[in-house]
Amino acid sequence: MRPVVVLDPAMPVDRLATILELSGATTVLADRANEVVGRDIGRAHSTVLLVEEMLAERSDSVAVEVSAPDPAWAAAILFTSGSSGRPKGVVWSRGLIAFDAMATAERLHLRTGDRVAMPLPISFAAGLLVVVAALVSGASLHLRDPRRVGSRDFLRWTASERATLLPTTPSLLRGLVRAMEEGEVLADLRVVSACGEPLFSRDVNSVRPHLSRDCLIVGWFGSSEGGSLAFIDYAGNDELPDGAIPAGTANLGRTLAVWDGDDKPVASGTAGSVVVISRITASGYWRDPARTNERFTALADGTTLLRTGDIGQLDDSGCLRLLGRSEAAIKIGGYFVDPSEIEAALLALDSVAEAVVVAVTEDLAARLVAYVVPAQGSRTPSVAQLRASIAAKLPGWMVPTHIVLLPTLPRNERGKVDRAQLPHVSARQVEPLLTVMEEEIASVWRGVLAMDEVGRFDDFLSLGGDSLAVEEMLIRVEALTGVAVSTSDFTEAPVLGEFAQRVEAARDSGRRTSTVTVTLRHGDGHNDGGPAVICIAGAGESAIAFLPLAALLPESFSVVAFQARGFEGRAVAEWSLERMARRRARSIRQLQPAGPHILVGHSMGAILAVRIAQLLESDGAEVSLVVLIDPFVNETAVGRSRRARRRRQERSRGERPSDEVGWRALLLKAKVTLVLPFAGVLQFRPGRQQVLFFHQGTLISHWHRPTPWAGRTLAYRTRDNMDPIGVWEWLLPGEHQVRDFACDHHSVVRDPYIGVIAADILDELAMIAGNSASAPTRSPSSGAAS
Amino acid sequence: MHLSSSPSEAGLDGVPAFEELFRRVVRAHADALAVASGTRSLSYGQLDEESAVLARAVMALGCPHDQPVAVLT
Repeated sequence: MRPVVVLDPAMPVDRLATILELSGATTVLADRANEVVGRDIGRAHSTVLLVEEMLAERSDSVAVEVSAPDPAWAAAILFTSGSSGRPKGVVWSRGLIAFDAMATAERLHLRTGDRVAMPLPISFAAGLLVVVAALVSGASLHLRDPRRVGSRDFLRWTASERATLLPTTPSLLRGLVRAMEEGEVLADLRVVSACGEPLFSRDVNSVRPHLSRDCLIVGWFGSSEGGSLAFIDYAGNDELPDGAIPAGTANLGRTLAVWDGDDKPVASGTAGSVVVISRITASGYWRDPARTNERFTALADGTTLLRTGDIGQLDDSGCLRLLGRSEAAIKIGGYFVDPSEIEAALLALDSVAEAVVVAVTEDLAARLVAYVVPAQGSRTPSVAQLRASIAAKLPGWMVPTHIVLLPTLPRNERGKVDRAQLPHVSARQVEPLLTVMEEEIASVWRGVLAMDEVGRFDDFLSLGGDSLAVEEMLIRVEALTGVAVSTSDFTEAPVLGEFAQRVEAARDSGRRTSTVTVTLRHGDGHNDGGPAVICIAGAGESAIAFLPLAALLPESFSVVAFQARGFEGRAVAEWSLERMARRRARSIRQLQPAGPHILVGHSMGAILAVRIAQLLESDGAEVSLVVLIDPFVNETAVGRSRRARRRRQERSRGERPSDEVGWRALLLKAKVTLVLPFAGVLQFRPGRQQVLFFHQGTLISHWHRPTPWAGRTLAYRTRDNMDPIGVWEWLLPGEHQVRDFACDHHSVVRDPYIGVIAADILDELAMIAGNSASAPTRSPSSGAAS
Repeated sequence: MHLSSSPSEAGLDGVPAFEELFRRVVRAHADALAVASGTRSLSYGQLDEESAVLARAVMALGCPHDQPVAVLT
C-alpha cells in the first residue's frame, strides 16, 4: 500500500522536483499532457508511467485485494510550506482518509447524485477531502481549474454543469463574486463551502444575491495536520455575526480546546492557543520525527494532542472563533506560508543581498511584503524581475504581493532587523476589469509583472514595472492588439483602465506617433509656469527610464524626457551630439521659454545635458541646476586627447600603454558598427534596438568635445565609471557635488539609488529657492546706484 | 450512512477502509457519473476498473510497499 503524493501541475517545476525528492517517490504517474514535466522533475532517478498507456495495456487479471490493510498505514503525503526553506510532508493514514471522507461528506451535506464543481487543487488537504467525500457519497466530481480558465469561464461552466455543491476558499469566492454580473444566480447550488482562511460576513453578504434562497453557506476549518476540524452553517436567512465568521463546532471525532501558556484550558470566551485532541489526526511529518514531536503529542488514552498554531476562543456552546496565528507561519489565500521559505528563495538569487519577508495582517487577512536589499556586485533587479524569479520557484500564493527595494535594512542595536521600522505598504484593491481591451492589457501586464491579478485602477509602475518592463509590455501589447502604442500613451496613462482607453483610441484613429519628447508627468503647476524637470536619456535608453525619478518628485513638477530619435518608430538616427543638443535646446525653449531649467541627464544624456545647458544659457535662459548621472566623460574626445597625451608620455618612458584596447573588443565594436548606419530606420527587436543605440551613442560621444560647465551641478558616479576624478573637476569648475554609488551604470536610475538622487535634487532646489528669497532684492536701480 | 456524533465513540477502528466505502457506492451506483474533467468522464464502475488497472501496474513495478508514488495529472 504505497502512499500517494499528488503533484499540482500548476506549480513551478523546481518546487515539484523538490517535493518529489523529499517524498522519495521513484515512480510518477502522469498523463500525456504532463509527461514532459514529469520527466523533467523526475530527473534520472525516477520512472514516469503514462496513464494513457497503462490504461491501453490493461489485461483482465485478478482484482487488487489487500489482506487486512492497517488503518495506520500511510495513504497520502501532503506537502505544505516549511520553515527550513523547504516544503514539509504531512502524512495522512488510511484511517484518517476513510474517517474524514465520511465526516466531511456529512458536514458538507453531500448526497448521492450531488454534482460537485471542484476548483480546489487536489494536492492539498481540502481538495483531497472533497474528492474522497464525494466518492464515498455517490456524488459526481466536475473538475476545472479557475486559475487556468479564469473566473468568468469557471462561473459559466458551473452553471452549465448544474453544479449543486461548490467548495471554495474565501479568496476564490471573492474572485468569483467580482466576476459575476448583476442578477446572475447560480440557481442549482445547494451548498457553497469556504475553507482555508477567514471568511467574513461581507463575503457571505456579497455572494448571497447570486445564490438561491435555500443555498447553505458552510464555513469549514481544517488543516493538513488535523484534517477537517470544525464546520458552521448559514442558511439563506440566517443572521450573520459582525466581521469574521466563526470556525464553528468540532467535527466528528474531534475535541477542540483552547489552552493558556501552561497547557491549561482557559475559561470560555478567553483567548488562547487552539489545540485538537483526537484519535483522528495526521500521523506526523514525513521522515521528520523531530518536527513531528514538536507538534503531535501522543496521550496516554491513545489520542493525539495537536497544536494548531492558531489563537482562538470557544464560546459556551463550543463554537470556536479564530483570532490569528501564534507562530511565524501564516495563511495566504488558504495556504500555509512560512515567510522564511520565501526569504530563502530570495536570498538564493545573485541579485539579492538581504531579504526580509513579513506578513501584514489586516482584518484577519494576510498579505506578504518582501523587503529586499539588492546585491552590489550585480545589476540591481527590478521588482518585476524579482517577482518573476520567485514565481519560477515558488507557487503563486508564496510570491509576495509587494516587494520593496531598500538600500539597507533597518536594524536595532542588537543587529536584528527592526521590523517596526520597515516602511508600511498599504493594501491594494483589485478593481474588476470592465472592457475586452482591459482584459487584453491585463493579460499582458500579468505576464510581464508575474502577477496573478491586476485591476483596472492598478498603476504599472507601482506594481513593480521598471523601464525595461514597460518596453516589454508595450511590445507585447502591440503584438497582441496590433496597435502601435507610444511611450507617451503609457506615461500619460500608466493606470490600466486609462491605458486601455488610450490603446483603444490609438486603434480607432490608426495614428502612429513617433516621438523624441515624452511627457512623464504634467505637473499641477504646469499652467502657471511651475517647475519643470527636463530629463535626457542615455544612449539606447528609453525616456521611461526616468519614470522612477518622476514618481519621486512633487506633484507640482512637470517632468519631460528626451530619448534618441528613431528609438520608437522609424526615423533617421541623429549622428552628431552637437546637433542633438541644439535640437533639444530648441524644443526646451518651446516647452518653457524662460526657464528656470532643471536638466537631468544619464550616461550620454548627461554629456548632452551639459551642452544643452550651455546652449540655453547662451540663449539667455536661466538654468538653475544640472544633474549628471554617471556620464563617461573620459570616453569623449576630451578623454581621448588626455589619454593620447598620457600614452605619449608612457611610450616616451618606454612603458606599455596602460589602457590599450584589445583587438577582440575592437572586432566586436566593428561588428556592431556595420549595422549602425541603419539604427532607427530598420526596427530591430527591443534588446537589439537598445544595443544599437547604445553603441551609436558611444560613438557620438567619442567624437564630441565637451567644454567646462560652470553652473550649479549635482553629479553621480557608479562603480562602472572609470573616469579619473580629475576630468570631472575640469568639466565642472563651478559649484558642484559628486556622490558615488556602489551600483552599476544602468541601475543608478532605479530604486533605491534614484531615491537618493531625487532627495538631493529637492534639497538643492530648496536651497536655491531659500537663497533667492533671503538674498537682498537687487533691482536694476539699486544695482546702478552702487 | 450513519456516524456516531460523539467524539469519544467514533474512532479509526469503527470506520471501514476507504476502498470498502468506495466499493459500496460502486455496487449501488455503477452507472452513475463519478468524475468529469474536460471532455472525459467516468462512471463509478469505470473509475473502479481504471483505478484497479493503474494500481496493478504500479504494484507490478515491485518497489518497496512503503515507497510513495507521485501522481501528476
